[in-house]
Amino acid sequence: MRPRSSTIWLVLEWSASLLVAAVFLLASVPKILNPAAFASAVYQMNLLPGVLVNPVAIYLPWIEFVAACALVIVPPTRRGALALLGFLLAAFTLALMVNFLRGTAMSCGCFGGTFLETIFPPWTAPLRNVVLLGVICIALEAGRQRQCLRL
Amino acid sequence: MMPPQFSIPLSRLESTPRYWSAAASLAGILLLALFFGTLAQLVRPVAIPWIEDHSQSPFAKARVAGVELVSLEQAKDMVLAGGVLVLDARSLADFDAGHLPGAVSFPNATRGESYYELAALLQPEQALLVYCSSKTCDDALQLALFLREQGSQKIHLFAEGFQAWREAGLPTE
Repeated sequence: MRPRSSTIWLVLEWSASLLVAAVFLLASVPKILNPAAFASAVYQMNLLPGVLVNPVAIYLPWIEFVAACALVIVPPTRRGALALLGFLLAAFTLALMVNFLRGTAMSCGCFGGTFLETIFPPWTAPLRNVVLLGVICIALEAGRQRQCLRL
Repeated sequence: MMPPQFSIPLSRLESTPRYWSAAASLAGILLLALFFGTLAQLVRPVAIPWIEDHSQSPFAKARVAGVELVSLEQAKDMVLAGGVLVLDARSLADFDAGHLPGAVSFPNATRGESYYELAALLQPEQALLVYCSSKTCDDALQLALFLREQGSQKIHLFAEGFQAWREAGLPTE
């Protein structure tokens, strides 16, 4: 019989992973379907050299999509997927903060311009990312604890 | 005397999960994303160019011209709060087919005529929100520059335009 604490960590790891995967799937699909709109959003961020704007708009949503799928479908890859998504979130948050400091509070393009971007005011985007980073940390820690208990 | 045992018990080995290393997972995810991204780019009927000059977009031109850009969220807040005169720079036909709540038709193509019709509303201190069809149209920017020449001081360009507004599920008239 599995120890009770191991089950708790398992549930916590899966819940946090599912939440992160859902957010990134919702974010990536509209951007995959409309790369032109996302390229425009990336350009408006005014952070990348021009030659990198479209390649980022082409590949970044797929990185989000594949990592989100891997989180749920291929649990052994979970640590890598979480680390990658955490890194992306940190980079997005930094980009948003730079633009807020510049005073160019354009749409972040995080959800490909869908209604999800209008639910909360733009200034909450970095906050949302920080919360999601916390969820990623919980998933990583839960996975680690579960591993320790199984050894 | 029994020799000391340095081996790991079999039961412990069996219970050890064969987790892939995070680095291998990372590499796998990136390779798959590279594959799917390239594939999508190759099979997509209308793909974006691999490299594109965005400097001629209305956003870039507005930034250079010093016109204040507002995001979809900011535009929504301004429209719903009221107090701003919303100007639709598209054709009258497009305006009739649907426009932002409370918007006034001010086609850029006939901006001279429209200006005299709406002159009473266009006081210099009146806040204006100008938009056209989408983020690729120039009409709203041209209208914003025209109105600035006429003396308007509070011009906000909603460069994402009516398309972004409609796609976000916001109310239209």
